[in-house]
Amino acid sequence: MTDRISFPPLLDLSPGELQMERERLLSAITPRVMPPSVLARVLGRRALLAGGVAVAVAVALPIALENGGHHSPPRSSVPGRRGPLGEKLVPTSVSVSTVEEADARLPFKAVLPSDATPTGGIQVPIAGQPTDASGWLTATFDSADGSYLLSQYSSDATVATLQQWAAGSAEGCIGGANNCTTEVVTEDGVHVLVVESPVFGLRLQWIRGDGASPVMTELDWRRDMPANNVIPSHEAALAIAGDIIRQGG
Amino acid sequence: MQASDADLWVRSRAGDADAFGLLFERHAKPIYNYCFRRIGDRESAREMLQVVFLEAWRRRNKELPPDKVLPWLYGIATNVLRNQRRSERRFAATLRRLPAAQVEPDFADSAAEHLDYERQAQTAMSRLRALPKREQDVFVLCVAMELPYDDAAFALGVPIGTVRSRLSSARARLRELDSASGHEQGDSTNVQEAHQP
Repeated sequence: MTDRISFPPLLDLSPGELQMERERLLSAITPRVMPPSVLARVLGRRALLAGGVAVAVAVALPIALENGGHHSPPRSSVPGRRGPLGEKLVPTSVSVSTVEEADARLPFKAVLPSDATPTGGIQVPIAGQPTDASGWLTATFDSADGSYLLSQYSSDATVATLQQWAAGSAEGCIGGANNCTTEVVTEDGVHVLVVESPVFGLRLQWIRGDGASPVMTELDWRRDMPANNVIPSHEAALAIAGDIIRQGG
Repeated sequence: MQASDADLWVRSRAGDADAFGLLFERHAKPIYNYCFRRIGDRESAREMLQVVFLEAWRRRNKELPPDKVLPWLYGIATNVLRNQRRSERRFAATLRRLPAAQVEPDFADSAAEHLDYERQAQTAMSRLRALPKREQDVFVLCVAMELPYDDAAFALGVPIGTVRSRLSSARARLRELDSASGHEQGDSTNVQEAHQP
């Protein structure tokens, strides 16, 4: 080997450097959060709820559990809007009004709370858009126990995953809090992960269908959406989860 | 349970910044090294790393084959480096808003070592500048970064045969230059290139 072109060895980025560069990148690409009070004034509270996830993605951070590599389903973007780098956001979801219409666009059967109507329809993927492959559904509900967001999507998580998340959520859990409370309870024979964050609010998660195509269901009560949202007791939240579970969801 | 690149890219395309952050963690090192080997300056390479991923995020509507996220990032990096000033202008405002990168202190030995590496990269690139730019791209991707030919072809948006012919041409040219300058004949690199089909 007598060549005169000698490249240096591969350099390492230390874990600290990598983390810092990642944070720098995310600070640039994540839309700045518009305070809910301002957003509500601009859009009106009803529009805020009706727009649900679609609006949320354009103005707020996607909410994710950092532990165990878990993340919420992809959120849709708003037609005509532009992202923080000036890029055009492509709509990825459409609103339908019935469960049957939702089922026609999803790889699983949608299950909604009984005797409750979503405030802004049911958001489902547009065929051919990136979110279409895994399939996901979101719908927002107003109730005496606060406004909550229902999400359902294909997932390869298992009950063991939920337990892993429960263990991991004690540190760095949803909403950037570090003092969440977590528990896995059984509701109608189904394991439900309950995470309460002083920053985010309350999230319930469970898996149905342990076979080839499990579906994750999430119920989110966010403290800031709408502003000063009611966060229900665990019992009240689990009652809604139980209603969905008993219907096969 | 580690999400695949394809899954993370699908989520990134839908606007999931956390998924994109995971892709960054996974591929930052090769892209950083690619930038470093072409620029020869560690700090500039870190800025270019940001620019490459900002550009990838801006172009996240792109549909990618499942195993081509990294080759696509190499392609973006190649374009960003080729049009460095334009790319920096595009993201100037964004880069200004970024918190300053904290550089971890170098111990004396490691600082000297890094200077050596920078000199080594600069020397390598000064030799490669004798080649047409398109041959430089292929040479660094296939030889310095050991990218398979098909991935290099994807990164550069050219047929695989073009990658082979450009690499062959680059090697021939380097041999000629060696010969003209009185250097010994030999392989075109001291880096072991991965076996290619």
